[in-house]
Amino acid sequence: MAKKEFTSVQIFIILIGICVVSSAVLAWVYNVTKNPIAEVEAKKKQDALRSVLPAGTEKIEVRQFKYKGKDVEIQVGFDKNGAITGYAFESETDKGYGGTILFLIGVNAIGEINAFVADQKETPGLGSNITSEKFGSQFKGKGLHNFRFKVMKDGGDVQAITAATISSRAACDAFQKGLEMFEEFKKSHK
Amino acid sequence: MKLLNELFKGLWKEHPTFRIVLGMCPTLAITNRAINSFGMGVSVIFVLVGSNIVISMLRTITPDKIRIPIFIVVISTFVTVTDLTVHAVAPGVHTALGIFLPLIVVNCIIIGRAEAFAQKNTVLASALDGIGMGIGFTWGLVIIGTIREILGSGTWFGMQVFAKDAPTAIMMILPAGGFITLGVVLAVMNKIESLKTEKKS
Repeated sequence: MAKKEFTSVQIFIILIGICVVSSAVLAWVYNVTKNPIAEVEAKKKQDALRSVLPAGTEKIEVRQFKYKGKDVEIQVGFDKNGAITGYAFESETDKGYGGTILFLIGVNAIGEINAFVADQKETPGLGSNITSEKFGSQFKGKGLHNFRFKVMKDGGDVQAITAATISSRAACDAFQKGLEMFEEFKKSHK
Repeated sequence: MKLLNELFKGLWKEHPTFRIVLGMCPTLAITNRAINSFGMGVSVIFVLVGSNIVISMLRTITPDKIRIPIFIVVISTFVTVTDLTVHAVAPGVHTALGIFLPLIVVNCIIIGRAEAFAQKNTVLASALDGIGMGIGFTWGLVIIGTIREILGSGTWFGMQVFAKDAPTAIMMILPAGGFITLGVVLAVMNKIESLKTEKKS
């Protein structure tokens, strides 16, 4: 099949034309999907909050709090009688194997961990097991007063994931920092 | 009949991973779990069919000198549109495939098929080529993912295969295991192929 010959000007116009068309398509798709995507993300965040707060949480309120010069948000869960069921807050660590890990930690009313979810890029199948049931369940009901958030190798109580000590340490780091922050919050919000 | 051949050639004779040996980056990077392999494969089918169709439609107005920039613009537009649309319409699918969709931009199979096939063939043939190549790529990845997950994690598609605390070869889910598995599967495929030609002659 003989290809048509194009002059330089034609080539110029065709490339510009294709770029303009694809930009237009991208802009249009972006605009159409912007709101649905924002809704999906907001719902995901709500679902994550509900999954880490203790069972029976009916209503969630946000409290602002200043910690080490930064504004942090603490989500407070209430049951249907208005009693506090627990709290949820974010804690970040840069000690992960695959960069920063962001944890959303849920605790009960006295600061013991209920559940957590993580936004992480650890090695799939190894470090990513910090989100597994096996690793996560050892933290349930544990707080700063009854648990040392360090892996056993470092003299703590945490059973590290085989071949993923770095990720396990990172999780401990995030829990320790998050719970320390929460203690401060409790002191200032009696 | 010739059209059917375009569909089936990607499944074995011109298998993208094991025969043409294209798309090695995702093949090595994401196959440590069978489910990841499957997710990547499905995303590739989707984008490959779409970009093949568009590039085939543009083939008469694509000057040879700037075909590569045009392919790249078309492919990246298609990937971004797919990513946004899936995110908005099917959030569940996006959660599962979200990390693979942006990676497809750098998958050489897509541009390889654009260059080798779609720019010279009709829209229908290019679409069939995309489907065949995509399915071929998917089963290739799932095979590698299956071997690596069973040996490395003792599970298959997340289901327990070996006893829960049985020792597993962690190396298999690390990058080295990817190279080793790919090499072994390639060798087996070549052996089968050479046995077949021996029989014929």
